[in-house]
Amino acid sequence: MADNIRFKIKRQLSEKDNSYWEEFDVEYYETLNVISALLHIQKNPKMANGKMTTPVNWESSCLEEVCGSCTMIINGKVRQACSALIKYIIEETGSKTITLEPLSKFPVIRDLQVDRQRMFDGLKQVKAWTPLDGIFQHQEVQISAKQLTEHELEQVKLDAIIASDELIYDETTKTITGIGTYQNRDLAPQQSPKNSDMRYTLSECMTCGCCIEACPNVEKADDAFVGAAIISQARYFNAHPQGEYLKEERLEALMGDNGIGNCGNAQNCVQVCPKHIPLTESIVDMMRQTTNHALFGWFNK
Amino acid sequence: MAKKGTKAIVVGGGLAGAMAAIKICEAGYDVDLVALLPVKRAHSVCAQGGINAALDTLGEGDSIWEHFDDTIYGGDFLANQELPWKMVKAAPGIIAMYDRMGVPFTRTSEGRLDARRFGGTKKRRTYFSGASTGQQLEYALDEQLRRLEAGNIFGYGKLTKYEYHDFQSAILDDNQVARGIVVMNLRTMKLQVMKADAVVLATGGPGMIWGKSTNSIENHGTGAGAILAQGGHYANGEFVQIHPTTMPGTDKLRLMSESARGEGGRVWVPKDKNDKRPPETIPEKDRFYFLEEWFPAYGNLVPRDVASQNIYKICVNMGMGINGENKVYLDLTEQATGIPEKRLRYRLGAIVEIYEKFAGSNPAKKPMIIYPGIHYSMGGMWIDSNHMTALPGVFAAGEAEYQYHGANRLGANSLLSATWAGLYTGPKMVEYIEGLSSHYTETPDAVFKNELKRVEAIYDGFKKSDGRENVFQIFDEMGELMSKYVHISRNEEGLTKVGEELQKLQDRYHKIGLNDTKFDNYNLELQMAYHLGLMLNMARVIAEGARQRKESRGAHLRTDYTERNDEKFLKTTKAHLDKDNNPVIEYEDVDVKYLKPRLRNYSKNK
Repeated sequence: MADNIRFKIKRQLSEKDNSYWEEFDVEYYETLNVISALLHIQKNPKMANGKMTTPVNWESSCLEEVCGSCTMIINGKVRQACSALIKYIIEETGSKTITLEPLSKFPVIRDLQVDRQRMFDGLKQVKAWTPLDGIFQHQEVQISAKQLTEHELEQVKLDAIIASDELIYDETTKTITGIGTYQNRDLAPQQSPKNSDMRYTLSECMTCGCCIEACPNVEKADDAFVGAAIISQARYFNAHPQGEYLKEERLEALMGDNGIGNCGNAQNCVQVCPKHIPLTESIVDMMRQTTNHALFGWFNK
Repeated sequence: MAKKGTKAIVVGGGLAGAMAAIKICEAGYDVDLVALLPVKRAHSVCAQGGINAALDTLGEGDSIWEHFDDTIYGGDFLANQELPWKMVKAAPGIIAMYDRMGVPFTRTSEGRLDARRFGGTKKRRTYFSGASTGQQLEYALDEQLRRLEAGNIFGYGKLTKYEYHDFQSAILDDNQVARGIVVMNLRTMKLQVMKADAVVLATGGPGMIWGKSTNSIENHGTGAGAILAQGGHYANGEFVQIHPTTMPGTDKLRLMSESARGEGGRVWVPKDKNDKRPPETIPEKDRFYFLEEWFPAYGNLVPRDVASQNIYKICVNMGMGINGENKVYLDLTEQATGIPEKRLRYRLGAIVEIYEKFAGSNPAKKPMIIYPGIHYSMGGMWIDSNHMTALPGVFAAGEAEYQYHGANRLGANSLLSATWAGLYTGPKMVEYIEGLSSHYTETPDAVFKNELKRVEAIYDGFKKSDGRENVFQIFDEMGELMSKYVHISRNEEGLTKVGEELQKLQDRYHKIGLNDTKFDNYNLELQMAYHLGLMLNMARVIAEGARQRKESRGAHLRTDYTERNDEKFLKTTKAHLDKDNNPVIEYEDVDVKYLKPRLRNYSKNK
């Protein structure tokens, strides 16, 4: 007989209700992960004691650790449920009992699902965007020409191309040219590969909430500290040649009551980040930037 | 100042929806954006390899025209040619836009944008951010949406997000013109009316109809399903892309990007099918690099339909899969490719890490084990060349519609088509709104109330129903059926059988009972009950379209009709439901105005 894995799941009907625990057994197989177990329970919500209950609710989407949805506390550790493979958990703990709890620093929606809106609000607070002046210009410009080979000449419909108001065919050079009506602004300024790589690392942040969950300076759901992810995103935009135009505003947003001054340098965030983002480096950098701004910011006014 | 008295709704926060919303706000109109999840978590984040544009930053003489020809040829000539031509022309500008938004594109040593090669082309045309390009592009648009949400940009309309809201149906007035939608707020499970003059459904693909796929768990394709149920049309549903390289899995098939092959990855099996040695110890002479051998001109970078069908041939027809199973190697080791581990991790870090986490082995040291899996729907809601569905006022954009990829999509054309579709559809909706003679503000209340009541009645039925059938069980069985009969290799017998079996599931669907009776907060079972009905309709439409298309073209491979038949089937499949909810298949001519259809052959250059 195949082994069962015992899941102890902390449940809560809504934010207002009290939490309680329920236990479920799920049959083990090699590729079982926490999401698969939850899917089994969803299909057949029968507790280990044989009683039926309601299916467990959780949030998930991509199942490959890129969307950030399925973050929860598994055996006391904050992580994504999709990449929590049961075989590795058993190897690590030696136990076939696994506990699942919702994140504790965010309001519970239902069971394992929580509301992380405060993180998205934080991104708004620090103006985590580049200040675009529009998507495209609309002007008529010529775009690249294509000289056709004999072989290609057989393939295209020259009549249609000549009749088209978007294509021009030049008989003598056998060249097709298009008229672009969607032409754009230029590319952003060239950037050093080093800067671009640093920014790529920061950009992998999926707003999953691990850093906030692990932060000792965030105590409860309504605690104000914006947290490491948001600070790191401010750094990300300050390092872009056009994002930089909002640098001062970002720094001022981080100097408020819920800002960077709340960081107690515990360094928990960087240890739990599933994308290995150098969050403490970001915090140090932004502390330097805010200090500079506090000292010399008046100079720019 | 925003233009008052009218408004647009965007359903879906992926690239297509986000892009449409930005363009409509830019034109001065307010937008309500409805999304199942926080926009930042949309399925677009799963795209890995990159986005195509003939920018030619690497000086290879690439051209817009060649991008167009690759796209149409790659799609086996089934795509209407007008919109793809517009798309490839806009592509370089789209890269510039993302660059200005701050996307951290991978760069050359000189700080310019780097590009790599993808399937079905000879040029390095794919711009990328490591191996998580979709994530980076989605975030860039999400950031701009947040800026619009914060408001106060002079001349722009305001964006209001309705996240955790599930689209249910369009609200049509007496002239069948859309005046709004019904949504369910998943935080309260209450149905509500949202009013507007134009709606775009950027609701993504229907991959979950096959149960296991590379898709995200919420990809039920219900935007298309709802429109189908309301009299809209579904086009080319039988054309679903099967990605050649996914990790076999029990909960999902995790994508291993085509960029793995773009960077030099090679697909192979042992020459001797009884060879049980660990793959890294099998010498070069004992390996069969079948794609390189059979398709010398394109090698491992044949388009996806060709790669998948040939992996299938190796495993199923020739019995040469690893250990006799449906598995082949995708080799990224330095020994096979010459790529040092450091470069591999730099260029493909995101997928290398996913593979390590889920398979527990390092692709730099040991070849990956992969097999084809359901990935992307070329088919989708039928739309005209203004991106409007058969229902006036309802538009569609992105994977949810069918216009760009014909019978097979080229890799890295999806991030492009999603973005482009949004860019194009947004202004088309504005045009439509400005041409309306009356606005939703003048629509009688009864129109909204009646549609709300209709949907409420469906939910009341679910809540009262006390049958023994489980919605998740039926959902699983639908996936198994579709994966068995409407997959990489199809035939009349199987396609007839699946139609019958799906009808049996529809009968059982009327006898469901719910385990979860909490109806005032997040209830995934109640949500699935509604979605499942729409998905079963779509599954039947897809299967019937496949049955009636008696030819092989692109991703649609029929073992009983192995040749492409332009005379009969150079046609768009256009399906709708009759009054008893049975699929009706009709055909429409394909617009081939620029390129004459020619046969594909990837063993030699075009």
